[in-house]
Amino acid sequence: MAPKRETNLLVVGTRKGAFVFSSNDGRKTWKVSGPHFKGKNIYHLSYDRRNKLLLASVNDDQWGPSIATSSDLGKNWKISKSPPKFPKKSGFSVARIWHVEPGREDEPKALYAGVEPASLFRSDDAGESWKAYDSLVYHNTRAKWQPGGGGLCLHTILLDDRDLKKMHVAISAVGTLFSSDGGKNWEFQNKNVLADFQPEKYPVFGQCTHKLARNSSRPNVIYQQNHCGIYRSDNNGKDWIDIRNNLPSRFGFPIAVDANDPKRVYVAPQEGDFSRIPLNGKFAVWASDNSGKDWFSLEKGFPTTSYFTILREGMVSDLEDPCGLYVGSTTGQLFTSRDQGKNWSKISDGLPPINSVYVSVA
Amino acid sequence: MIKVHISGHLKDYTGNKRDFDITECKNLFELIEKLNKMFPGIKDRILDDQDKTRLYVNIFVNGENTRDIENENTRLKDGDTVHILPSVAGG
Repeated sequence: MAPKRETNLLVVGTRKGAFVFSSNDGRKTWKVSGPHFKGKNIYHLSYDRRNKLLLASVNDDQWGPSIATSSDLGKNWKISKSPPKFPKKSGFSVARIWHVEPGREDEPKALYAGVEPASLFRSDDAGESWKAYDSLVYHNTRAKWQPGGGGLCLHTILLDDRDLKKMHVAISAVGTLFSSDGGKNWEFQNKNVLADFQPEKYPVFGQCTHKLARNSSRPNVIYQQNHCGIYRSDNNGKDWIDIRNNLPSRFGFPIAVDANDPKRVYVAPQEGDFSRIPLNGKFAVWASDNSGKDWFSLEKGFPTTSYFTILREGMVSDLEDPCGLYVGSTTGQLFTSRDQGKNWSKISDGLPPINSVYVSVA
Repeated sequence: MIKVHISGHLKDYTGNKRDFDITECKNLFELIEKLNKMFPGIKDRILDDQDKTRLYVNIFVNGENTRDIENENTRLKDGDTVHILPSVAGG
């Protein structure tokens, strides 16, 4: 008997709810359910493959943020009864939850959440309850942290599969931080990363990291889309190399790595710093096959005219071969490519503004 | 007995119930704590991490906004009526 084909999942967080797309024919066609949490601002929707749980950061200007989980792909949801909350003595309150990250295989119930104002939370019971990392809440430089355009948010959590104690986080506009002791202590990792909106152009911290990505087959190599450039680190974040080269803009939000080729990396350049729309009114994903030495555009199938923004969670790659890519726009269009970006097609049109796309298999 | 009416937005926490009678609460904070014992998690929707009323939530005691009284310390007595409602946010 032929093995049962896995279901490809594409889960989408939007400004007005969550949508779950699934494909049982190798990503050719997609069925959709949603909106879940109609009207709520879903900054990030992800899937915990270990526990078969959808994870939603549910933001509500009136009733505050929470995290919800679903074990049946969105039919029923469980809202955390003890959501991320700052300690009383900190004086902070969680304004929004930006990112929910499943933990590693060897920490089966662990989840991580990045919030605004910038901090990291961890759950050890698959999202029932959450605890802040005091090391960031009371970080000795915290008083000098400045918000980016979206707020002072911890939006990226890059876990190291080789070592449960190692992880990177990124904060706008503080930069990249690394912990090698399970989050007890953090060091800034912003060497050679430009922050030309600061008086000092290469400060220890104060950079506006937009997103980090790595391919687990070359785990010491990390790619970074920053407000002020595109970077690669070959030594797990200690030093960064400017790899903008022939890209048409240094500005963009997301960055993604090909699942099968660790030297192939994808970005979504936008006109910076403030307009944040495609260059010349035409969106294209750009790719490099040599770790960022040179870049080429991938635009076949995208609209001939486009003035949307792709937010930091708005582009992701899957683990299939050839690698698939998914792009969600602030005008509610959801695009996919099943051939490493060579050809693009639209999965959905007219969704609410898309905050995040995330792929997995169930 | 204090009569409490909550917004329909919170009915996911209360099993669709919106009206309650609560006894023996000295102040608004105690009332919210009692609600939270009945419906775990509802407090976090009404108050922020510092136990302050969320910016776009309004709580009225006998029709008066508690921001004009003593916020979460607003005293309560038998016969009071409490409304917990979202503000009208938007254009």
